[in-house]
Amino acid sequence: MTVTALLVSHAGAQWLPLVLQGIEAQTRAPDFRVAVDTGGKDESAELVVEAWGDDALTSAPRGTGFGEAVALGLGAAPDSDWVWLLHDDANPAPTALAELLAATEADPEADVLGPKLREWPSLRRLLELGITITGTGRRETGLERGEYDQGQHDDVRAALAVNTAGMLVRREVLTRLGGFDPELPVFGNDVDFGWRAAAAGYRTIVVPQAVVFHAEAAHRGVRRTPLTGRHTHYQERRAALYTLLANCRTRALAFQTVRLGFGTLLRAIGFLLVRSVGQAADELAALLSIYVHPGQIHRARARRRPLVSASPEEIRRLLPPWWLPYRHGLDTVSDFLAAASHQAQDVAERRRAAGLAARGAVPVAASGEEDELTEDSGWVARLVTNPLALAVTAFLVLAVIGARAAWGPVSGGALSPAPGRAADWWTLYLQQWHPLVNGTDVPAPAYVPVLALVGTLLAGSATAAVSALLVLAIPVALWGAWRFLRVTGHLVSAAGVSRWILAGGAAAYAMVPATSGAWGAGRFGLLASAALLPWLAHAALGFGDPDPDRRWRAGWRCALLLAVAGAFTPVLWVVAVVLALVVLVAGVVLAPRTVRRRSVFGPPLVALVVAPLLVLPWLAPLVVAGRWPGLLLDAGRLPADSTGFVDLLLGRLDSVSGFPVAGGIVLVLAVLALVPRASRLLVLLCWLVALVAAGVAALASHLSTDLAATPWWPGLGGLVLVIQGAWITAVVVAAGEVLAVARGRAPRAVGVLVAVAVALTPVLGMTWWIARGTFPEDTADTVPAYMVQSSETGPAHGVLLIDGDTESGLRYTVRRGDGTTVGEDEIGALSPEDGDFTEDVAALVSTPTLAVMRSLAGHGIEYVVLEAPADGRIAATLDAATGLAQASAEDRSARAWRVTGSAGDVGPEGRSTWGRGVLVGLQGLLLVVVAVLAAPSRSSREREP
Amino acid sequence: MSAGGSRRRGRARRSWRPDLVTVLAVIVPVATVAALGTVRASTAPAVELPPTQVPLTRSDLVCPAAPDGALLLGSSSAASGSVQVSDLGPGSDPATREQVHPPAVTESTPGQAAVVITARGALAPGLVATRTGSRLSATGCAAPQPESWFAGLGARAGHDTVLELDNPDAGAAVVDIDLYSPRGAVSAPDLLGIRVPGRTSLEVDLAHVAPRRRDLGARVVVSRGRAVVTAADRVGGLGAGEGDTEWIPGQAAPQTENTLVGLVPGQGSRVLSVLNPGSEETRVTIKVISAESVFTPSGVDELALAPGSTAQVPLDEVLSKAADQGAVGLLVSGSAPVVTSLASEVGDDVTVSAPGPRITEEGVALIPRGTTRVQLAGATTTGVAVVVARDADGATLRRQRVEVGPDRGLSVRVPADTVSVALNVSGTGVVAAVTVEQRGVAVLPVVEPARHGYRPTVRPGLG
Repeated sequence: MTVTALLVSHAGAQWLPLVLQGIEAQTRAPDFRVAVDTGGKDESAELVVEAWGDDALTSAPRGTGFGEAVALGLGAAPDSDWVWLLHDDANPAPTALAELLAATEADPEADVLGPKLREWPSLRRLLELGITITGTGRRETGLERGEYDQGQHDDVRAALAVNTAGMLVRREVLTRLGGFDPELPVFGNDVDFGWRAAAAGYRTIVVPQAVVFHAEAAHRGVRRTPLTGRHTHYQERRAALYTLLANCRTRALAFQTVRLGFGTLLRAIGFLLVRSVGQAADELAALLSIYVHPGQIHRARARRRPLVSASPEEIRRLLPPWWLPYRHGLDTVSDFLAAASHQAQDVAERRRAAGLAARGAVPVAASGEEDELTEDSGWVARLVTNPLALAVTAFLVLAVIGARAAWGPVSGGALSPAPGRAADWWTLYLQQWHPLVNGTDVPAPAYVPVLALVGTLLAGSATAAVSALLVLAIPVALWGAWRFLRVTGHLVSAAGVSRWILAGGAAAYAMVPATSGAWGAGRFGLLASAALLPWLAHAALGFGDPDPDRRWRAGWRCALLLAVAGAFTPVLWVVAVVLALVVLVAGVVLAPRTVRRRSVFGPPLVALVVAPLLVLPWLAPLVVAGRWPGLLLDAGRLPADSTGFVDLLLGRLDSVSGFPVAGGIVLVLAVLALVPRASRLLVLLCWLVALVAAGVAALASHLSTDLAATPWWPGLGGLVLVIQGAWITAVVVAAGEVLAVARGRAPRAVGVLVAVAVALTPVLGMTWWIARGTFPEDTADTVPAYMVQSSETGPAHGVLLIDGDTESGLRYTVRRGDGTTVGEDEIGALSPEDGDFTEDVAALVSTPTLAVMRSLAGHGIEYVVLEAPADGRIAATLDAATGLAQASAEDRSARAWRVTGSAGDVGPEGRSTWGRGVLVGLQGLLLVVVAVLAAPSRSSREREP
Repeated sequence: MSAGGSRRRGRARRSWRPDLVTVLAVIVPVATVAALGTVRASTAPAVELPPTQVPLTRSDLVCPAAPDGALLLGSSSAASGSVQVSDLGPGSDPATREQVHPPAVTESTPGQAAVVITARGALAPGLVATRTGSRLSATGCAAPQPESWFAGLGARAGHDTVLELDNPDAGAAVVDIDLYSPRGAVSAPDLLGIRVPGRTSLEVDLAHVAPRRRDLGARVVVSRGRAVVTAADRVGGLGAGEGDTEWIPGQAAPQTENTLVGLVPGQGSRVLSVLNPGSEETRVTIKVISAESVFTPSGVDELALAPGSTAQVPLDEVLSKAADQGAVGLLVSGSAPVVTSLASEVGDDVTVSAPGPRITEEGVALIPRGTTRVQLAGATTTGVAVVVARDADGATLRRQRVEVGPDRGLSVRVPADTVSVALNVSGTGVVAAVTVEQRGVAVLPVVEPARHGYRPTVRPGLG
């Protein structure tokens, strides 16, 4: 049995001496030695000549692929039974060849044998033990990343393919299969070769007893050749796609082509999210290169076809299971989410560590909480043995019960009915001109795309999006408040605040959306803001991180959260600006040198500037048209009830809704929180936030004006949330301090008293909310069902609704499509009055003429409804009018007519313009950029050595 | 300066001056509350959008059918000209034109059918008409109203009410009638959706749709088109004695304060009918309005009316005495809006009066000739009313200026030739009626004819 060792080298001088030594040291030396050097600029060739002599070396031009190099080497080599392929960065252990040959004797059927590859220079970590490829083109080794070799994989087994580094292959097999595919010059040729060998009925095995140390120079980008270029990822990905499409079964080809297209897009987005823009581009470029050269795949498949003899099932056994890529995807996503959510968590620890490091001390773990979480016991056991977890679970269960009215379609109060599908929201958002009333160019509210996205994710159901918002607002607020308060607690003391206090504070905050009356009044915008506010505050804590990179990331994260929260409650942005100014002034006074650093003032500035840019498709048209009231409008139906002095103090939206007892307790505790001396500074900062919100409230409340259809004043609900949040934080900080001081010294009663005080608000609030349990009844629909059906067929089938009487005046609205749904209220309120149309309506109810009827028909009015109680005189006037035919109304005290001249083909139409498209496109682009910048800088996998 | 020195000084300072954080811990919360204190709570004002006055360009008055009698036609405005008078019903005579020359009153004798009077242009404002019937019954001709309320209707022999539905327009009208009895609302599905074809008059005999009922109340809603609803009552007529037809005036809407003016002196039966259309029990008090005061007569208790029910209160003795002593009316107050009417049978003539409209500027009543008294009551504040009595040619027979005030009523006698009574009120509003005695008694409310059209103010609303 003869063996030819075939070494392919390319600029590998730094590894080559050891590799040559390794071959020299083989216990079973190869019978012949051939080397091919592909024109590296270093002294690789000389090293080979020195070791093996002049005859052994074949020189190939630069840019020669691996396959061609092997073919050249074979041409120069004398005939032998086996060929042992070696790379210039793959150093065989002394027994490698001996073990491989021993395996050929043990398994005479084996045609291709591969050694165990271990990392070079670490020598201990496993790299590969045979390889295969997943349906998405991922090179699958079956090993954990960085797994140490402890003999855990030391059974000889069959594989789809083995790495060419150290591959022992029958020469006749190599020749019959035509060597390596020249289309795969560097990467992926091993998988392709193995697949072809398997398809041709050859057997590939892994011999773990044979060990080769591999530096993977090309893969890691350590070695660049004209073939790898700078984009190794592109080459690898292209090779993977090529291999899959060239070797898969014919009937799977079309599916595979489409699947790889979508898969690539997803992967590219994933790379973008971890700020690997280059790799994302490589992904897309590789896909493009495959897609635009269909002939390449066709030829490759034609070449492979004559050799196929194995059944598809045999190959299938060698491929990984179908679900593997999805598991990998899930792992990646969860890794990413974990990294993203842990970004700001340890600001306090890092600050402390930085402080200690500055003093030359060694940081110690701050608390044992993390360890507890990783304890290896079942979650059920942990849940039932942990009273706090039980309490939190009970709270969440009660929160879901309290929100029982929101399961299913819900509307009432400030909440209009949800549109039919989430796609309607997208349409609304993309439209420049909406077919509402008589057509309007008021932009859709900024929160529409947020709801649309949620709805799309919930199987396209807008109703589900609204329900999710109503049901999840309190749990999400609880979670966010817990995380924020925990970090804040760590800022107070290294030990942090008692978790019971944290839970009480978080629960108190989580109840604010309910006790303020926002939930009960259907003010969904405030619910969304209440849920997001603690997350925003949590992100803002990142501005205090000692690491500039993390500060910048906090800036982007704040921008994103502020944009979303501000989309629902724009006044939050104003609070953020004023707060930033206050902090800036304080900073200039207290630490002028620090503030002047770009990485200190920059991130908050980024947050404040980028947040409005992220809602540009809403902001820009309002500003251009001078519709200022739209900038401070709370989401939902107008007019919202006004928030006064007492309401702001007691944490409720207006004098009729809400549970002022809860807010009253918070106020009293927040004042008492100023008493403990040690935490007074931090409590004072919380009060400062409340002061800023109060100042904004004071100024904003003096703005008011009349819109065409409704009086307007700024929505102050967001400020109620900020003030309550600040006070609750103050209470938690002070309570933590009191407990820390009391521990071991004061009587136990002090602790109990503090805990009861903190728990009082959420307990009372939750009791009140659950007992109340109602959602406001929506006003009964006065439009008969047959008109609704007609109006849903298109905007040209409008229903003119007239309400009121002659004495106190009439108000009209036009129902088009599915009526006013969530997102359309604000558009309707901000739309200017159509004077001509108002004149038409006035003429209709006083001196109706045929010209008036024609004008109404021209506006796409099909029906006229005089809402109950109908003014009899107006009804009589309309009854006597020509051009109107009586129609049946919803109840006896309402009246309805059909406009006989209406053909249902003229009316306002929604349309999009390129300007709107550009704005929305810019928003999307900016969103991606901000999301990428806000995400953790590297994926957790890449951070591994 | 040594460190020890500064520490000592620091300690000394702390002993009399709190540190900055403590000072701020007081200032910041106070400033927060102070800032919140300047928050201005906005409230949505109850936006009233009053209609704009526009010239009245068309007036339609409908006079109900009457077996015989005359039509009195006049105007409270100064314009002269001709108005169109046409009969309602199939095969009716072609429209005729009648001249109107205010302040003269035109008398004509149309047929028995209901009559529509249409004035256009300058004649439309102030148009007023009265139809007299057999013996001395009379009723004002009314403009179409979307809703009318009646109390004191009957549906049995001897007291049978016929509701007359007159549609003055070319298109059909639809009328819904709800009936109320002492035992609550009466189920009468036939009375819902009554179609009154264009320019026709339809009679609904309550004795047919709700037989053997007494003391009925009704709400009549014109749900489609326009119609004028009048109630005519046939009292007596069984056995001996001649039956009498008397119109029962209606009310535009139930009221909490109902001022019934027009008390007929003399012995006889007097019955007050009250309808509580609400959904809750209503307490009703009855007071007599005399020239000196408004008082609760002895022996008349507060009345409790079940929801949706009617009641009758006999006031024979109380009112006979009071009317003789110069009382002019009744004040019927309900804890919730009620509908009332007062039927008086003095001698053998029945008269029904109902709360009249409140006159705030210029009221007018066209009346048959007879012994005539103008009775005023229900003034909200002290004010002045000028009663002008004219004969058919427009000559002023009497002009009397009276002071009216709350808590009292007054009565003004006018000459027997009077056919037109004008009432100019300033400073207050009054309810007035004219009582005419001849062979019988008629009570006609003084009405304020429409002088303006109103164009509703229209604004966009929120969907």
